[in-house]
Amino acid sequence: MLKIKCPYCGDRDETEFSYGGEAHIERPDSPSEVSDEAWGAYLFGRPNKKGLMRERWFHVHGCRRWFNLLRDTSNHTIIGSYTALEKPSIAELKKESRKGGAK
Amino acid sequence: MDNLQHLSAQSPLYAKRDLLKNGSGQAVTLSLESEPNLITLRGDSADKSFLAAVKNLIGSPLPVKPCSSQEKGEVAALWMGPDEWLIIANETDSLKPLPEMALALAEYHCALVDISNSKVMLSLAGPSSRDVLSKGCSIDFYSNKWRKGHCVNSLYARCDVTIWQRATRDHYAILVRNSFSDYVSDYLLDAALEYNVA
Repeated sequence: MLKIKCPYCGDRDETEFSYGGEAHIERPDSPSEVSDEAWGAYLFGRPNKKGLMRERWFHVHGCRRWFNLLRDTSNHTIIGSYTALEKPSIAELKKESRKGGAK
Repeated sequence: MDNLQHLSAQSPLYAKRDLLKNGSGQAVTLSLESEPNLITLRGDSADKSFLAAVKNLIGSPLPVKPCSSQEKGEVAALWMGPDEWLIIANETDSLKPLPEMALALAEYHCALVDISNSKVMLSLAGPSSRDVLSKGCSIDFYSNKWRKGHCVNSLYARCDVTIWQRATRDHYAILVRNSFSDYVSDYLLDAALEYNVA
């Protein structure tokens, strides 16, 4: 069971959230002009990497807001969380978590 | 239809009032709050003039701090999310009719939806009420965040609920959707059972 810090509500149980996959995926500006390969990569290509990953989570049973989480997929360590409109660097998130937790 | 006019909206737990009363005791009291009028308000919490307009309209300021509430007279506003509030009015006439409220906020990008009678409001009180809550919810009810007015959206026995502290200590309101209210009240009664044994 993970303890996840919602950037609005604070620490909550994993059961209150739902997972939304990798964060910060950009939709191509003009979909009709990109190649099939590029479109396919946008739709399905995910690095699924082992280690630190930026993920989208939805606080579905709380404030009902999407936000982003930086999590280590190899050992479930959560470094920090931030709202959907931000993109702090990993160093900033680590620094904040050392200070006693993200916002 | 004239002969139906004496009928009024009734809580789905109306028939369970005695069961709640019988399940209450020294340690935990469970009861049904009178049917409150509920309004969901969405709007921009960073817009000072919007916040002022709403305060002017409902009497109570809107809370902008997460998991908090504001109350003035018969009207309370609960924080539901960064741009969402639940307005609770105990008396029907403590708020203007919804179309008038919508008109007063017409210049703002916001939404007002009447959700009265969609939820049941249960009252949970007594020295063991926090233990009863802890039995179905992962939130720490002994944390110092819990002061009068603190409110959270969470899961109680796997059902979406809003838990709202009503007094300095040991008094909570639980808002739960109508269709889950029978199950949640059963769960609460069962959770309270051990504390009320004389």
